[in-house]
Amino acid sequence: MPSMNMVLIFSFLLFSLGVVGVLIRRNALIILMCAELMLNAANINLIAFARHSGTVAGQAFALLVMGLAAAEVAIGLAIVVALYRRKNTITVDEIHLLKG
Amino acid sequence: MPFAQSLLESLGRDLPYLYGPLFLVFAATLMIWPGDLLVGRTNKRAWSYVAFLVLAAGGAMALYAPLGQGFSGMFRVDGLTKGFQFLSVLAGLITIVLSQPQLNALREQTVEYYALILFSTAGMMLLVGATDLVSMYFSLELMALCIYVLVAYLRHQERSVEAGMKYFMLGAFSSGILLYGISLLFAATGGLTTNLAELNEKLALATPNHTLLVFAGVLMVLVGFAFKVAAVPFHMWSPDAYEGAPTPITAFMSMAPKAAALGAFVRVFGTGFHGVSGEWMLPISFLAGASMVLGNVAALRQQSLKRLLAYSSIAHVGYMLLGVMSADAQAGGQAIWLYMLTYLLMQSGAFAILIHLQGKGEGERIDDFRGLARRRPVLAFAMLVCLLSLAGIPPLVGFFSKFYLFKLAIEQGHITLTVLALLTSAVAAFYYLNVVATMYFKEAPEGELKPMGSGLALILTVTCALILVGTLFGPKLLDWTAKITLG
Amino acid sequence: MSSPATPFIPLLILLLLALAVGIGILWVSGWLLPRFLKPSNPQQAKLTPYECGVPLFQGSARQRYGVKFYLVAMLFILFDVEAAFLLPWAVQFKSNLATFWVMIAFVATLLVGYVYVWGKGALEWER
Repeated sequence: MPSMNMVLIFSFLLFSLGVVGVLIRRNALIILMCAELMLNAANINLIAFARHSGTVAGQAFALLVMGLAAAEVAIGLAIVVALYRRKNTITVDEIHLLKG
Repeated sequence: MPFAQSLLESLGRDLPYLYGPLFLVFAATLMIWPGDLLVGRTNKRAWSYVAFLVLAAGGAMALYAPLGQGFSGMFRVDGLTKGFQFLSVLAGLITIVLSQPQLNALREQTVEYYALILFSTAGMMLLVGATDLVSMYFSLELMALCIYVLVAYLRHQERSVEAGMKYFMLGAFSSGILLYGISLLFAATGGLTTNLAELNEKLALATPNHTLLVFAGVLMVLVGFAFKVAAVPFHMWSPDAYEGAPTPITAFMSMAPKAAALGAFVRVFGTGFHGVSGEWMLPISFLAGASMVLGNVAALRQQSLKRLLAYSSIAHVGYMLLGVMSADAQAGGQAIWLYMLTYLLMQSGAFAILIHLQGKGEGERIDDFRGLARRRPVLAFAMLVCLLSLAGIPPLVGFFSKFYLFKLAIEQGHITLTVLALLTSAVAAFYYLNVVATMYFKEAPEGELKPMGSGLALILTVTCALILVGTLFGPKLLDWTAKITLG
Repeated sequence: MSSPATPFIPLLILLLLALAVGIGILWVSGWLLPRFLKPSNPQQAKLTPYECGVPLFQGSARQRYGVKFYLVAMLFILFDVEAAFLLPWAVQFKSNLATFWVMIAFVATLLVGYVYVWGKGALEWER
C-alpha cells in the first residue's frame, strides 16, 4: 500500500519539523507552535489509518486530540503570559534562575 | 432508536466503574462555580476542608467500585487499579494538608488550587484503570495539564513561573512524542485498534514490513512515559520543576503522578506490549540503570534538600522500572505498588518537616537542618526514620519494599541490573546519612523554631507510625499487597 | 429538454438572484438612500480601512503585542474548539434524544467555564 507509506513519510516529516523546532527555537511561543505540530503529525496518521481501515475510532481520537491541543495551548499561553509579566521576556535562553 | 437505547444502557452499565473520578470532577467544577461565590473573599481556607472531604469521598467511591471492564474495553477496574487509585488519593489528601502552612503564610488560598488538585487526581484515577491507549493518553494529559498550572501557581514568584514554564515545555514535547508513538502503533495494526489486549495480539502478528513501525511506536511510547516518570535521560525537567514549584506541590509531584504513571506504565507495557517485549526490554533496562546511577550520583552534591529529594526520586523511579521489566505484570505491579506506598509515606514525612522548617517558602538548604537534634529531638528523630527508610536501611520498611522489588528482578533474570541497584543503594545511603549527620552533629544556628502546626504534626505522626508498624510486619507485607491488589 | 445541465438551472437562477440582490442592496444603501439621508460631512478618518475609531497601525508588524491579546486568544481557542465537537454530532443528529442530552451536558460544562471566565473579569478589556 504505497499511499499509506506516503502518509507515514509525510507525518514523519511534520513530526520531525516539530521536534527540531522545539529543540532549536528560542522563542517560547514558537516552541509551543512546534509542539502543536507534533500533535498534528500524529493526527494525520490517526485519520489516514482510520480511513484506511474504514472505522471511525481513529477519527474520533483525532478530534479529541484537537480539543486537547487547544487546552494545552491555553495553559501554555497562560504560563507564557505570567512569565512575561514577571520577566519581560519570553526567550527561553533568558530563563536561567533554575539551573538544570 | 436502537442506538440511543444501547447508548443509555451501556452508560448505565459502565458508569459505576467511574463514580470516583466523575464525582471528583463534578465536585471540583461546582466548587469553582458557583461554590466560590458562596464562600466569599475572606474565608477561602474553608475550601481546604471541602476539598479534603470531597477527595476522601471520591477515594471511597473508587474503592467500592465494582470489579470489571467497561466503556468498550477502555477502562478496567481490578485490584491493581484500586490499589494505585488509593495511592493517588492518599497523596492528594496529604498534599492538601501539607499546603496549609505556606498558602496561609503567603495569602494564596484560592478555590482553584484545590480544584486543580482534584482534577489531576481524577486524571490519575482514570489513568491507572485505562486499558486503551486513547483513554490512557487523555487521562495522562488531564493529570499533567493540571500539574503544569499547579507548578506555576505562585505567579508572583519568578522561580515558580519559570519552573512551570520548563515543565510545561518539556511536558508538551513528551506528550507529542507519546501521541505520535500511539499513532504509529495504531498504523501498525492497520488502523483497527488501540485497545491494549487487542494490540498485544495484533503487534505480535505484525508482518515484517511493519516491525519498524512497531519498534518506533513502542519506543516513542516508552520515551513519553519516561518523561512523565522522570527517568534518565528524560529527567531534565524534574530537578528544576521540583525546586521551583511550591513545596507542597513538589511533594505532590513526587508522589501522586509518579504512582499513577508507573501504574499505567506496568499496564501498558505488561499487557499491551507484552508480546513484543524483545523490542523494549533493552531500552527500558538502559533507562533503569541510567536512572539509578545518575539520580544517586547527582543527589550527592546537592545543597538544597528539595533538589536532593528530586534526584533521589529519579533514582527511586530507576528501581521501580525493574518492576515494569517483570514479565509477570501482576507481580511487577504488586512490587511497584508496595514500593510506591512506602515511598509515599517516607516522602510525605520528609516533606512535612521540610515545609515546617521552610516557613514562608524560602530556605530549603540542607544547612537549615543543622543541629535539629538538639533544638527539636522529636522532629529530628522523625526525619531520621524517614530518611533511613528512604535509604532502604534494614530493618525499616523501605528495606522490605526494595527487597521484594529486587527479589522479583532476580527471579526474572535481570541479575546485572539488580547488582547495579544494590551498589547505587549504597551511594544513596551516603547522601541520606549526610543529612542525618547535619542534623545530629552540627552546631545549631541561633533563633527559636516556631511550634509545628497541627496538620503537619498529624501527617508526620501518622507516616512515622506507619513506617515503624510496617517495619514490624515487613516479611508479611508482600502477602498483604497480593491480597489487596488481587481485589 | 434533457440536456446534462438541466438539473443545474435552478442553481443558475439562484446565483443570478443572489447577485441581483447583492448589487441591489449595495446600490440602495450606497447610492440611493444616502442621497436623501446622509449629512455631507467628509472627514479623513472615514477613509481609513477599519473605520472603528482605533487609529491605523502603520508600524512594523514585528513588534510585541499587548499581553491582553494573548488572554483573548487563549479564551477564543478554548471555546472555538467546541465547534469541532458539535459539528460531527450535528451531522449525525437524527432526532435522537439520548445524544441530544449528552451534547447538552457537554455545552453546559462549557457554560460553567464561560460563567467562570466572565466572573473572573477575564473578558474586560480595560483592567
